[in-house]
Amino acid sequence: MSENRFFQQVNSVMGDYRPEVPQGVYSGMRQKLWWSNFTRFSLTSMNIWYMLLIAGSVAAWFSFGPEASSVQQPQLPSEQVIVSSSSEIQRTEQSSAESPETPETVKPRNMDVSTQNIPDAVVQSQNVSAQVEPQAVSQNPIETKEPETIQTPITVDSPQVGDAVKKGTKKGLKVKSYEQTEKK
Amino acid sequence: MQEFKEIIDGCIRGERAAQDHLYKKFSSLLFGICLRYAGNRMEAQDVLQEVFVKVYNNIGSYNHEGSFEGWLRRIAVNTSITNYRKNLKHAYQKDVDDLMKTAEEPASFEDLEFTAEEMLQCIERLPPGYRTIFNLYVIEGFMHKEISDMLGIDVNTSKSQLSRAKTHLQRELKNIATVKI
Repeated sequence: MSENRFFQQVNSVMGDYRPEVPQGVYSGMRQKLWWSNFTRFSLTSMNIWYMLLIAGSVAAWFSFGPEASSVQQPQLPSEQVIVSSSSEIQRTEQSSAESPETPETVKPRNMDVSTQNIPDAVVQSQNVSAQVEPQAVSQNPIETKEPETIQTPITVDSPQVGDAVKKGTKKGLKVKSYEQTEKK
Repeated sequence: MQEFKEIIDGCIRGERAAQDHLYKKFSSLLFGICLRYAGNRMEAQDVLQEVFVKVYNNIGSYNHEGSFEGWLRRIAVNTSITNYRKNLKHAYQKDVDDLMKTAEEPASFEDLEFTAEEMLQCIERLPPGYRTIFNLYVIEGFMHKEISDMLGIDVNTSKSQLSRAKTHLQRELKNIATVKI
């Protein structure tokens, strides 16, 4: 039998072969079609991209929305360290010498706690306790912001403040605590 | 042709009735194609489902110029080839195994009548590589150059695999004929 004849015979038998399709194929095809449409982006129909967008929006709203900011509790400072330059401290000393009874009236210019210019600065710790007079407290701009900070007793002898004073002393800086200033 | 146009337009609009109509009309034809390329019925069913998903999703790209049935056939063949490539790693091993068997004895095929199911049974027993090339050349009518481009193989490989597929198929058919007699 020649090659062509054999191929023609196969072609004639199999070319238009139409077997019966099992029933389950249709439902499976429908599921695949639904999933295909669901995972494909379309402006007109609901799909996975819209759902991801909605989920992302909800997550962002819970993370950064107005309720999230109200839920966050204000962080109470455990201690307040005022960093000021040596020149300002000298000025403070001078003014305290002139009027020893009111040391709290001197307002340091750099009140930003985050400024940690340690070599040029003198760390001054504050004991915000009941010993501080309300008038003096009201003159301090930091303490007037959050009155709750006044209620948190912080002692000068805390190890953190002591460390800061020690570090400052080691580096040859003049360290003065708030209490010392107050005593003067 | 007008009837097809209505079905096609309905499918483009996403109408379920039109999709069902298309499925009823062409599912058996496309299932036959899938069966020829797949190794078994389950695999063919999976391929047929993928074919219809592709048809529904891309029916808008049909330009109404060529034969719609030919367009559907082409999608079925391409999907079957994609499926063959997916299983290529396992298919290669089977090809080598079967090559050793077929090289032993060239079959002498006599002119006998066979049903489509008998032929399909023999085609399914072919190694996937042989089966794909045999279908593309004998039934779809592609040339060896086109087959080599489609499958990413050498033209001579296509020719030699077709020859081996023919030998293998003739031997299988001869066995069936012997059982019949």
